[in-house]
Amino acid sequence: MSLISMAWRNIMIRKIQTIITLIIIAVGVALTLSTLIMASGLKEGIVEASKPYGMIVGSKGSANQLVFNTIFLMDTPLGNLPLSFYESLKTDERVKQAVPFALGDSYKGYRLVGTTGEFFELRSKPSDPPYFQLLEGSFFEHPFEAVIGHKAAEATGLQIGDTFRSGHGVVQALEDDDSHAQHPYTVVGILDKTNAPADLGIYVSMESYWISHDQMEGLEEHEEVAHEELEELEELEEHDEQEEEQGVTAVLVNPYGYIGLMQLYNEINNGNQAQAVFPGQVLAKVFDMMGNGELVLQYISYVVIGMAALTIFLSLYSSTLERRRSIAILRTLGARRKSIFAIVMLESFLVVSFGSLIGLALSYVVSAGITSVISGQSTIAIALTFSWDHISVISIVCLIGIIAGIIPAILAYRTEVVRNLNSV
Amino acid sequence: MLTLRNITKSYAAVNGEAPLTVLNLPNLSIKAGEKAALTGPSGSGKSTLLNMIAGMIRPSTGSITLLNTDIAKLSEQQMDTFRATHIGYIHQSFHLLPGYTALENILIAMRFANSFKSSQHLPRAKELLSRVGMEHRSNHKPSQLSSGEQQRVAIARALANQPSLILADEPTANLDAANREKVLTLLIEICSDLQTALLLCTHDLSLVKYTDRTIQLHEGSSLFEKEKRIHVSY
Repeated sequence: MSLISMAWRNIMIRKIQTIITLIIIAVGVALTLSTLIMASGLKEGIVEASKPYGMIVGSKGSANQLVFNTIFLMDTPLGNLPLSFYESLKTDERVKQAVPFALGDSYKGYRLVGTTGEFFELRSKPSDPPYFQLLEGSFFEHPFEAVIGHKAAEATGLQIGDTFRSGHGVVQALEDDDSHAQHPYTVVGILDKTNAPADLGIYVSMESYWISHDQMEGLEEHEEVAHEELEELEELEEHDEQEEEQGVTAVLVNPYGYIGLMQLYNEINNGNQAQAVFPGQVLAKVFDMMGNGELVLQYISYVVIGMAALTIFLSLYSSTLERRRSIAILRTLGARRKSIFAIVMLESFLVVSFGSLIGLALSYVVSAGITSVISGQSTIAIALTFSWDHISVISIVCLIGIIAGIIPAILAYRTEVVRNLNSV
Repeated sequence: MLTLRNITKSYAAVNGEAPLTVLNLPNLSIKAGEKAALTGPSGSGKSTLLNMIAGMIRPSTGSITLLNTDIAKLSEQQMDTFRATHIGYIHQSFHLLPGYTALENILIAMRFANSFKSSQHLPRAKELLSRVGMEHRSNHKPSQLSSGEQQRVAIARALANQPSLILADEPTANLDAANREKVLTLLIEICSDLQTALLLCTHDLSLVKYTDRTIQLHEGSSLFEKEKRIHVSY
């Protein structure tokens, strides 16, 4: 009979204590790992979503806002960059690809993005296939053709061949879908799922975007504002008004090399017309903010793990006291002190290992459950991926559990044979 | 096979009193296969002597030689292995490991000795249980066994590593009259069959008839002086 099977048997003898200890360890580990899995999965999802966009150039203002506009299709757009600025970037010899990106109109709350066909050639890595793939149909070739994101298609019910009319800005579009009634768009393509906010976009050509806005200006000159609500909306439309000059909200820049990239970055940011941002840097700041909440959860899980260590200690300590006679019998049978020490340490190791494994499984189940619940509400795909960090957490928990077993093991090691044999 | 010379066991002085000598044994030897009874009143040092031969207590002076090995000179680890391999110990309270079956109690005893290969452990444990008439109770835990059955398992366990010497400390004291006879007869019979020496410690003089000779320990008149004297009679 091996020492490990003896240790296992000893654990099984005190089932209730063992189960309680296992539960506490499992909860502590699950709490810690779920926090890590969810946080890292969310970060990974966001980073993945930002990869195709390269360096983003937009008007001076909030870098966060620029990234949120472009990658998440959220927030009020910054003021437009003049078309000439975009063209100068496009012709810059250091720039491999400059893709215009214009926000303004929307349909049923889903934003229209004015861009060019190059947008659909963006890649996460040069060796990767294009990030945007068609699920059906084709990319736009003519004005007033639209390619819609997967989630936007699902939500709006638009299909190939359908037509729709956009509204000016997000707010007005929700109030009144007919503001651009003279420019119906025809759906020519539906994008495959990217599991990113890009799924929410409706992509049209720049020409459509500009024509639409020129006509919108003409239309607005002849319209009287009848409702008080519309006056209130004017403030919200302030930024949308700025887009009505021919320009772009942002330019997605992919340079030929790193040196050129950094030169451009510095030149643009040192100028007074535009800013250049790397999504990764901006997102890192966002992650730092998320980190505070993550830290609170982690502290809670550390407390639970501490409790688990204390439970292991108390369980082993009391059981060692209870079975001093058994230990003395083992010594009589020839068990060495170090064998006794090893048995108690193995008990500690087995309990903490099983508890950690249960916790690991539980953490994935919990994370998968939470992900499935929030996936319906979020466009960011939370990837449940294995990470060596999880093994590190489990190793630390095991180490803590083993440390908790040291004092009871020493107590067992020092058990005096004759005295405990004779105590009935 | 077993020789004890000038064995004393004393405990250090407390509060200025003279050191307490609990055992003072000039000479004692037991031959291979011999069955000897060690008798004497409670407190005469019988258990102390057995624990000393088993290497669980070190003598203050003197030597204990078993199978040509002076066990007093062995390190604790060497003594553990030596005890597991060459000495079987039967206790008054059986001292089976709770939570382990009868079979497992024997397997554990074999785990700590070097007498048999691992592959031989299970068949030998089963054979020993069969020898003491407990094969049908091999998967029962001590709490599921009667006192007589527990002591039979304890005998099987003591024999697990084919020891040269069995030390039995009041092995029948917790048994009823019927079981006392059966268990002791079984123990003597097995020791005879296996040519294993037996040192049977008892205060029950009716048991000495089963052994080849009797060693009687007397508490000396010098108890008042914290000293016990031992007389060996044949």
